[in-house]
Amino acid sequence: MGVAGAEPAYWGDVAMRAIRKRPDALAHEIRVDLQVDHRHVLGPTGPRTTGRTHVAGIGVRIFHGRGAGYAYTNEFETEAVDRTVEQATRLAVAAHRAGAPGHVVTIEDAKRARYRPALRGDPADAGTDDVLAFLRRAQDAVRAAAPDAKAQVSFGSKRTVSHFSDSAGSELELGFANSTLLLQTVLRQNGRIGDSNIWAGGERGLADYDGAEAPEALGAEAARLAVESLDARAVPAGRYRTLCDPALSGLLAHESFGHLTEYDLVASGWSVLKGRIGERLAATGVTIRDAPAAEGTRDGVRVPYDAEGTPGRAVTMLEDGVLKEYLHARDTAFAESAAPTGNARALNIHHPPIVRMRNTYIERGDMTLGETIEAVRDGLYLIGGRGGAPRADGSFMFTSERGYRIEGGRITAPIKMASIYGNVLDFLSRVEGLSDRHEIKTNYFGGCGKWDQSFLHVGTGGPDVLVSEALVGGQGA
Amino acid sequence: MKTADELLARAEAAVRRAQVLGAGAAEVFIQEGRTTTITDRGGYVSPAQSHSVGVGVRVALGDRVGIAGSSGLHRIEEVVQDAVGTARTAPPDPSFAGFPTPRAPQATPTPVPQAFAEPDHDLFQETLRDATRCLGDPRITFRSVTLSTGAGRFVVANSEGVAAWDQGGRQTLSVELRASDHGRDVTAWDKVSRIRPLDTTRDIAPLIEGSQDRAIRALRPRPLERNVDTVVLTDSATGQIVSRFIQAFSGSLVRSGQSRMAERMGRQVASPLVDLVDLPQGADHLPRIRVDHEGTPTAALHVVEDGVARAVFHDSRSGNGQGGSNGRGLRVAGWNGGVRAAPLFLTMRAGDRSVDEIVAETDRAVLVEEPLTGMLTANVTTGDFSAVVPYAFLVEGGEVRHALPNLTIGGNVHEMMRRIDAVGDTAIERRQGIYPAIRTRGVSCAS
Repeated sequence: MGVAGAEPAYWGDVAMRAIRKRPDALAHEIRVDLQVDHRHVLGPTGPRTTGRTHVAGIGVRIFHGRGAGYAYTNEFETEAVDRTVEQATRLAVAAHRAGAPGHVVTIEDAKRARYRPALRGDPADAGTDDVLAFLRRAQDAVRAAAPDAKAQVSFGSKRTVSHFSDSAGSELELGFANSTLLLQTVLRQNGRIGDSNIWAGGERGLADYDGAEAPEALGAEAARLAVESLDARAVPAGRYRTLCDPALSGLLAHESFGHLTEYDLVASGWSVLKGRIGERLAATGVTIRDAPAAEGTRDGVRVPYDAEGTPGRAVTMLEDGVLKEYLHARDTAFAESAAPTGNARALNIHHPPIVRMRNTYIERGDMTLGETIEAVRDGLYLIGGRGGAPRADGSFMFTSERGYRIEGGRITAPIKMASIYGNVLDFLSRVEGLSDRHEIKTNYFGGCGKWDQSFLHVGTGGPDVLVSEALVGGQGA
Repeated sequence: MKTADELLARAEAAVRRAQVLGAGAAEVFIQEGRTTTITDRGGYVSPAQSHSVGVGVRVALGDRVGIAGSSGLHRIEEVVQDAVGTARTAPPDPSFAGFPTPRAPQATPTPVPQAFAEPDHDLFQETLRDATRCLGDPRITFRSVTLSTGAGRFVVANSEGVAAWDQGGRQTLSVELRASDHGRDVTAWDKVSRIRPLDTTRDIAPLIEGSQDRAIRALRPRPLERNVDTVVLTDSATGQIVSRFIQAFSGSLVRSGQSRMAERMGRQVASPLVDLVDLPQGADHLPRIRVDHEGTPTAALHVVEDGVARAVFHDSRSGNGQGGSNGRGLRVAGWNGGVRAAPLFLTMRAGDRSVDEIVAETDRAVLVEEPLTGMLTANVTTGDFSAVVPYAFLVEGGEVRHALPNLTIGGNVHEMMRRIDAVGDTAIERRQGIYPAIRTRGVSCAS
């Protein structure tokens, strides 16, 4: 992944020399990113898209007094780097002179580290025919199980090498890998439409998709769900005892709770969680964390250092129902006299880092899945989730992918995608049980949007979460 | 910024390189942009400046197509090699019919004012002061103010010809306001974008005053006591519903089987009050799109006439066997995405009544003035969706009664388009289109 015959460290040095020539630059960070994306889409009638994209650039952030300025270029030429340093410095100086009420940032503690993901069947080395053959295995499995189904199978992967250096002398070379195998299936029978939308992904190469995630297994499952959805009924709007699966509970933990703990949003007065550290906000037993990796697995995303060079650590935002910590980048940590938490992330080299999440999840409980279903007695089991924008007051609306009715403590009939809405603090206060399974998922084809930085790869997950009551409305009701 | 001629020369050289490597046909798309964005978010001022170049390459070896892309021009040769290598191993694409011949528009590119291309902190401070002066109520403060200035251009070349288009400069002001009163917080946001420097009287003041008015009116909400099946949507929410409805007219989705709209040409698919025309230019203050991203010249396309389906959007691939491209081949995900058939600038014909008149003749409905959140979850195949708005207003007996908190709307976009029975007389630019207010039935609202 070299750039024009040179390594990222070389261009980091070019930028460093340009900065040191200037008397007005106090502290700085330099990021050099080389990113390669592969996307392959196999439609029902043949391949639709197959291609590779490189995004590379040099980003410079200059801190001057209370001002900070970020500029980047994707021209790997010394003159372009000089110009970028000049622009970042001008922005920082102008911000300082304009009385920017930010905080004087100091960069201390030089860090040195290297991380390279080890993948089985690295997509970067795979030929197009290999990947399409991989996708065909999934598509063939759908057809074998449901001959009338039309399946679009997609594979996307991202590999990034990031070189980071700063004025404290840090040198980090960090690899990032994320891929997803996505199956979208539509089935039309006797005027009825069924569909399914499932995926698997994480820090994976092609050969890492095995077991329940093998293309054949996913294809069979996609077909089964599409057939099942033909009989799914809309849910009448109302309040139900509800069990949310790990995907839906993770979405809720991220969108409706996690964003409210991002300190840039807290400081601006946007979040309902401002000034509530130490307060009980949820039922006993509910713990929500944001971690740099999904420990012990290759699920989710792996962010050992953030985009400011801060080592990542697990942050416990909510512990046993009590609000404990906010998420910080360096400048927000300075504002609160706290320590950075390793949550400064940038979508890519085109953007400066801001406070973002990594792997956000609700901690598991001790009930089996069967026990949680039994405990629902009469209600709904909602599976998968889409949508959901963070709202300052904690209100939310998500759409499940599918689900089931639970009657007499047993799963009975399938239901269509349904919306679930309410307020996250009310929702968390109604938690009656947590299953003992723990799943964290990520999706190359989606991610987290914040301001103009969409969509950043994140992991979300948790256990199955049983709530005593949730407001659920059927689609097109 | 490089000149269009410089970019064209690089694109043409890359096309020749692809041919040397064995490509029967090649298309090289280069997009260049410069943006300065300054945001003040509760005291955190974030200035950022970018200069980016993106290259998208499509090559064909017979009917095998390969795609590759890269930021910057330094890897352009490698990108061409990638695309050729991908095409060699790609299976045949039965829909591929060659790249259309790019044709340069006979027009003078929009000049780019210098102020748009350079970072300007003073301009931001001046704009912030102007915006602050427009705040006329002590309950209102800014949550965030973002000013961005940008300029861009693109060129496309293939073995048959070239086209270049200067997208001009654009200045955008986005504001997020907070209204606070007696422990209740309401947020309202809006933005204005122009191809000239923003003007305090014409642009900034209406933006702030409109957002402020909505936020203050929403400060005293009461829940909705019983379900309502009628909504009056103003321009922004109308644009979201129409945008989802119009997805079914994408030739790309028709070809993939996700839409059956092609079979419904000449049939009633919406209310007779619905007239949708896709234009190369939506308003005088927006840049004109003279060629699409495949270099095909654009022209107005009547998509829905009096509720009757008339046309499907086509790029060169989806138009193969369907009359060819109609100038709607867009790299909707930027230079690094594939080309898709999509609208340029959708315009919905205005009706004959003001929003006030529509409200006055409505017995019971919910009035939605804010953008809908959650529309991304709309099911492309069926049109089903659920969405929320932070606040809306209850209309009863022809009058706006009170605000409604956290309203959820469930429905089906096709059904909503069929049941439109009133259209507002003022169409406003929103979401890459121009839309009026509408009243429609058959939805489910709850708060």
